[in-house]
Amino acid sequence: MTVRKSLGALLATSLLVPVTAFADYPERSIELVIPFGQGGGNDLVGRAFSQSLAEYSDVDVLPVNRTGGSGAVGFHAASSARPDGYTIAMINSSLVGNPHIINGFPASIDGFTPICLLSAEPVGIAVSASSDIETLEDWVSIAQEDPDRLALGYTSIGELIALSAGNVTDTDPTLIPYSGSGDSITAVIGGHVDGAVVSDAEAYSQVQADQLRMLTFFSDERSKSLPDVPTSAEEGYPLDIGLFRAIGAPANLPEDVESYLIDACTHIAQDEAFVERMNRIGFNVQLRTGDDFKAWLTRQNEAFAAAAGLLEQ
Amino acid sequence: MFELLIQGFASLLDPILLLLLVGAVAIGIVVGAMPGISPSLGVAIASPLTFVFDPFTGISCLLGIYIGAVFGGSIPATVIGIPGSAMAVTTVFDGYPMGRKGQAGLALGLSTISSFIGGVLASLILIVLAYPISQFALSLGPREYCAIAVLALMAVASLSGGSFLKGAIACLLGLFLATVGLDEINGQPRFTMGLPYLMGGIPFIAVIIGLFAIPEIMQRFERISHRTQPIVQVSKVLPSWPLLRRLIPAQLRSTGIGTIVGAIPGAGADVASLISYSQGRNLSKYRERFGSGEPEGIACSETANSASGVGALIPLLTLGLPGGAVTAVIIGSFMIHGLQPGPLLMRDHAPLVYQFFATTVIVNFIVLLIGLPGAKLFSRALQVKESILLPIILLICIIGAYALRNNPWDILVMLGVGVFGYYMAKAGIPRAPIVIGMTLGPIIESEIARGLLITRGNYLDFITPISAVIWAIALLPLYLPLLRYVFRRIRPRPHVATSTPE
Repeated sequence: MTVRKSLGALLATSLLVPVTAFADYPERSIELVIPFGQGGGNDLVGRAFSQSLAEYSDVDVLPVNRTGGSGAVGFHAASSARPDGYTIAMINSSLVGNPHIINGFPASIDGFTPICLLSAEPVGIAVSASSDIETLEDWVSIAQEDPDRLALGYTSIGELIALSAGNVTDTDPTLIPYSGSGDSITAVIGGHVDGAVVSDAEAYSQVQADQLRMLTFFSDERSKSLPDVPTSAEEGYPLDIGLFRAIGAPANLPEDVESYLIDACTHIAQDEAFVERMNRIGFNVQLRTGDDFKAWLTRQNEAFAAAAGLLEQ
Repeated sequence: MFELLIQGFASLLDPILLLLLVGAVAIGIVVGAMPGISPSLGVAIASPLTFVFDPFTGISCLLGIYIGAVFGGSIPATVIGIPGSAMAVTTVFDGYPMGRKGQAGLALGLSTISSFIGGVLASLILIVLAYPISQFALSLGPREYCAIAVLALMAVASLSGGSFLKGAIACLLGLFLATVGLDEINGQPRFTMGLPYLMGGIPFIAVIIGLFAIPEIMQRFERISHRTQPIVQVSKVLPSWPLLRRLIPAQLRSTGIGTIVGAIPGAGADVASLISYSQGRNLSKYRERFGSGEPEGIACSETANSASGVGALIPLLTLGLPGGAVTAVIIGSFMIHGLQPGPLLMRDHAPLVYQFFATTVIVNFIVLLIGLPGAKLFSRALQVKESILLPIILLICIIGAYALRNNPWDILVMLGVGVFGYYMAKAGIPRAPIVIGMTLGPIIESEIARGLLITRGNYLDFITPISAVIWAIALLPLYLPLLRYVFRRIRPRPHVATSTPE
């Protein structure tokens, strides 16, 4: 009897606690899952955001790196956490791209309530500054002349971007995988590969230092940090696919918690200290929330799905 | 240049800054000494705390934590036989036996002095040769990284104890464990059995802690008694001059190996200490004593990993490119402090770069200053009653296994691997080769694949001039006996010929 009673009590409290908690969310510390390692873009953005969210909400926000499996471990943990707003996560293009290329990837965008987009980075092809290849047109003509000649480094879902780029430009360079954008940039500067698929944030400091040359960005709009680089659309190869950093929560999040977090994002994205910190680490704040963000995510997902279709051919 | 350097040192004469650096190094040593709390984790946690300072002070503190942490790994390696990280595995091999012989103080003294020598010399190399070394490191690609990893793999022979066969079996097991998870080239899951947990791979640090700590704790529990245990003598800390003089060639060689390997983007301090240890053993007059408490073994391992820690700063400060996991975190901190790491840093902020150069030198002196008095203190841990000490170690191990990935399953893996390691120890199978296999397997596999992609599948192009030299050194033990045989056949030595009855 006592066992059943205490079980009943436990059940009752577990049902009760969230209901009461929503009323004055947040009342205890929030965990921000970062599915990638320390020092990378997701980590830097996640830590900047958690600091600002802590100031806004007046509770502790703990960034927790849960790494492994190209985000598999962290995304899985976050999407299967209780949807009460006390576990939120950094979500990014890997969450959208990986399910299309990794068999049995244990998480997808369906497992999350998208909260807000913090930053979207255009991605393009970078070559060494000492390379003969000056423009995207040079790259395309060399690649079409001799398909074996060019080697293009990429990281993670950069593979899908490289394939999409090859599709619109009708080229098929040898694709070389690297485990981080730092490694692929090192390989370009060292002359081991001809180019690498990198974002404007990843390439910025080396472009400024005249070590790297960005040929193009596969984006509708020019990069804010590297505005001199033409988009591929301007050169006649329209393609809009890139990296992004965003905040998500487990699916089935109560509406009042969702709107609280969206308000928090909107406030933080206009906070000067946050914007400045993001700029320092190479990111431009670009806010999208609610249905606008969800529709944008759907378009991203379609672009990656189309690219994954190329992989199977 | 000298003017800038002197200005750099002068800027460090601020007593508050020096005090901060002493604090940073002390924190770093604690971070490094905690198994599982990696230097990169320590630097990442401390990084936001440095925002209150100006960029120079903030980054200098991070450098202090980093260099302190690289040294700190040798403390648990020597005192309790648990490497704080992969780079201290080779230190366990001679440090721990010395500790068991009542020479823990001396072993820690040696690792402090070796770390100091490696760190300071590498800092001087950084100051004088940073640019040419970074250009050389940049010219190496997947094919050379692969050869370097194979050279490090040869350490299996040195770390197998008695039986090479058993060592090779353990190494293959390590290579296998490293294949679990997403493969590095195609990103496809291998041996994951559909479990999201295994997609992240077998947690490397949890395996190290489990393999080294748990069997040791279990074996000591077997022998534990309530009678007063014999007081372990804390030996003197400072090595004698003849001993130190004998170690100098090994330390110089290890500094060279460590600095270069550390500067190479594809290899880190773990690879450096493995190469240094196995080459040191091959060249030593006392090679048969390696693994049973030979001071030269500690010197090889600790000099190399400290030099490598500084070497990793070479591509960071000259090119803004990461030389390893920790430097990736430091690059992030540079950016948060509003500094763009890269070649422009040297052009636009040369005085600042020279201040960092000066900092690495000073920080290594602080390591010496804390390490030597500390050695006596740390080795007293051996005098704590085992019934108190062992549960504390177990607790630290559990925290360490959990801390790296914040995943409770990692604790179970650590304990499971530990029980397995206990039976390995009983069967006389060495455990270090598993760690070597797990460290080097992913490097060798992905660099072979990447190298062959770059050569478009041409195996002949896979050998480059530099990699050929490294391969020749790596495979030396395989063909050296043959060379000796051929050499004797061609030029039979007269006195040998006459003394045999044939």
